[in-house]
Amino acid sequence: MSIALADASVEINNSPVAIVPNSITYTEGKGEQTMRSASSGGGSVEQVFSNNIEMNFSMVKFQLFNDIDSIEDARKWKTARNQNTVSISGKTPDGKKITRTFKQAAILNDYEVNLGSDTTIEIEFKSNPAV
Amino acid sequence: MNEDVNINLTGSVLYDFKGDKVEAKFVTLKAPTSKNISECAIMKQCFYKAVRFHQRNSDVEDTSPSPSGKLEDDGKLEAGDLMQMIYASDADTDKLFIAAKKLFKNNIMLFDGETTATLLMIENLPVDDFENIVGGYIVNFIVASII
Repeated sequence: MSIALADASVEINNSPVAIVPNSITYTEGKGEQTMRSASSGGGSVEQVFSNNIEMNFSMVKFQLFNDIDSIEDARKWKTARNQNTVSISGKTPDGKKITRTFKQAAILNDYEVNLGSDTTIEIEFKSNPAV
Repeated sequence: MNEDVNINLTGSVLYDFKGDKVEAKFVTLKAPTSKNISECAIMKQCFYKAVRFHQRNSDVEDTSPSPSGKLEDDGKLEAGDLMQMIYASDADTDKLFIAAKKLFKNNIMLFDGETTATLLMIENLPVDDFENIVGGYIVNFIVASII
């Protein structure tokens, strides 16, 4: 029986971050590949595999609650441009662990700060491929 | 008393710096201000308790290892010796380390002279290095203010 990891922790620039539970998503940064076929005739097909390294960046996104500390933290990460480091780590009750580090992470979009009683702030970083 | 002090690290500790993970080489400790008076008071108290304990026991046969205690010899106390003195006394070391962590994350400690220490970074320090840093802080800033 395997157990899903649903409560990973997030650290950004040496500080833990309190996020909305179940809101973390990331990509490994392995990019996109294409598969084409080449044929030397007679119905034979060979695979031509190519890697589009233009897409080799990771994405990590999560939601924050709209408290003052989170709003100020998000502003600092945006101001730091691509000088942020994001780390995600988690451990399941069966003792298995996972860690992913996203270096040179930057918030590229002009994120919206929603100020309501039940709103959240969506933060998305783009970074070097996860290690 | 107001000059910053650098203490080299012997163990390996990684921290985030400008978008990368780097290994810390040293920490810089800054002088306390009155904002840090509660933590400094605890450190001072531990130092005084350690000195009084050893003075009280100096005439009694003591089989525990005694610190090399260079204070009386050349007036200079080493961080390691001071920590031995404190450990061998009845000072509350638990309270001391909690106060030290609280002090250091309050803009008192910098990693590699540049990055302000967070609680996460302090708690990633190897035990030997943390003890050395606490001892070094007491020697350079707490004891120095007494003498």
